Amino acid sequence: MKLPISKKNRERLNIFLLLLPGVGFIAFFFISSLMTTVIRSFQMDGIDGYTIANYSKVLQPYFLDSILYSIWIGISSAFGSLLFALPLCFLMRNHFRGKNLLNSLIKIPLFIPALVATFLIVNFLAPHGMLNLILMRLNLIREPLKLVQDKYGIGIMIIQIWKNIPFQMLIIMAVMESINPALVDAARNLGANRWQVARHVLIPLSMPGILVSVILVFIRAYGGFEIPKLAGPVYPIALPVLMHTSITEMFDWDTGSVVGTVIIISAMIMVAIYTKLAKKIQGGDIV
Amino acid sequence: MNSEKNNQLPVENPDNEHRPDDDKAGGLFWFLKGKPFKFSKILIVLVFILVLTSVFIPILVAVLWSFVDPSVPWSYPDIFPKSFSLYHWQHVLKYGEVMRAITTSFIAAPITTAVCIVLALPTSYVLGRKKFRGKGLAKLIVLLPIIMPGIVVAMSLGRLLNNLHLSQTFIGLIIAHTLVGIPYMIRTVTTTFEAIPQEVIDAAYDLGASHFDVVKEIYIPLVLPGIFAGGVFTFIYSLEEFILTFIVATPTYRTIPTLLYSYLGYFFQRTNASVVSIILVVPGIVILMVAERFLKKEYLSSGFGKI
Repeated sequence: MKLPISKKNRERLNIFLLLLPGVGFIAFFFISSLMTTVIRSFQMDGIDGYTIANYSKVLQPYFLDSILYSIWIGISSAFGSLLFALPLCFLMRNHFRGKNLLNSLIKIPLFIPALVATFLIVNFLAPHGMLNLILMRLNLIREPLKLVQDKYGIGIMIIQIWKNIPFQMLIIMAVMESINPALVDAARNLGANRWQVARHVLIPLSMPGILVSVILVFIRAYGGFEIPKLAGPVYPIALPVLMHTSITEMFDWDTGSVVGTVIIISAMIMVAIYTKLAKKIQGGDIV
Repeated sequence: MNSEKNNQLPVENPDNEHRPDDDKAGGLFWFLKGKPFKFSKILIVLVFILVLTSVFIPILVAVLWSFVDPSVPWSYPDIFPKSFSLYHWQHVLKYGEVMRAITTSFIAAPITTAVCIVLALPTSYVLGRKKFRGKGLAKLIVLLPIIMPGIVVAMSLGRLLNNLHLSQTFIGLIIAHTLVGIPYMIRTVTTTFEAIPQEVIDAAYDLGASHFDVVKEIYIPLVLPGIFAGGVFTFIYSLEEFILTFIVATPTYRTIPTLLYSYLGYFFQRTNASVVSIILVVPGIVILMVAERFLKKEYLSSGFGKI
């Protein structure tokens, strides 16, 4: 059977049909459902037409606190884990005995899902967890330290950092390996020491990778549900937890869809920055 | 680079020049010699100790909790439990809900993987081998589910599946898991399709190969490792998937992670949670460790990194 269309259009049709199972699946179940959430945030229960009343209704101290809290969790986790990941990346550039072993050990948290990581760390840091037992036995503290469900999100931060150090290392090391070794040699030959090579060659050239890793950890910590739900305080609550409780406990889609839209927009901003940065990475194999 | 011109770098003696090889010879008191930023044994030993304690102690504590003897409680001031038993393992595995959750998880994971392969192959072929307008957009659509926080996806998808009368069904659960896994499958398989040199295919056609021959002799053998790598990750992410399952299919269907979550909530059941955590983590670690031996690095980093 020959369709009455030109060869060029047939090629286009073929491409479209082949894309349909994968991209179409994502477009239907992911994009369309997110769009309905965004649209829902401009509608109110029992009222026809579109309105921004939900947004003005939600704009209250508890909501602003939630936004700030989530941003704080995101930033502190992203830079907190970078604080460990970056020096470890530099360490891993050297040759030493046991390097492969150390590499595998560091990677272990990658294999552990967020829920289990939360349990492991909460169990360890809890008021009657092992850390507090040891500190009390050593007479360093009188009363157990409140490290989880605290209002500064220290517990959440520790879990996120624990989980995300190897993740950031994976990205940064991939970018560092793509740096032309001739540049490092040239700097060495010109008399630069290790510190100068790191500061003037390696860090600037791997900056896109470093920023990508920071952005990805930010959005994971900012939008993660399980960790703040289980290790976070009663107040303030992180945005994802706020969305979940408003919808499943209060049956309040008005609030829930506004919170959802805020999370969606934040993620889209991060995606935009991510795609910009990923183009700068040599080879672009991270995209 | 410009700043290097501004600060004139002091030229060091060749003696002070550090090469990766002389790290092995680094003395114990390297820091006294005033050589800045020189890695040596002591630093590496410190890093080893820090990594070992921070990674293994939380895991060890959970393993200990799973073997605590219920008749001898583990509480202050004991740092280690006084007595061990298999009681909690037997107890948890006797619960119908645990075995049911394990069964659901291990049925859903292979089905999800198969669905992902079928849906991803044609799309990956086009993304990897064809040039067309809108390719960037298509790739962006594939990237989005990886970055978008699970909670908004779960809530939105829950609403959509509810309207389609698919929430609390097994099909809904598979749809949710496929949505989580398919981006990784598409990306790994696309990479393998991209890596096939056009010359090889052209040469095959020039030598008189049919379309069928090209698919059988070139595409299938060269793409298979990518499918395998993608399959490892869709399988594991399906096992580990929590929030979408929790919203879309729980309480009708419980998987290992949703069961674990129920032990972590208001009624914090340490012993049960320890057992279920170990059950959840061990298959993933074993599969990934084995896969790491067989697979090329680039597939693993694209899947591991969840990017």
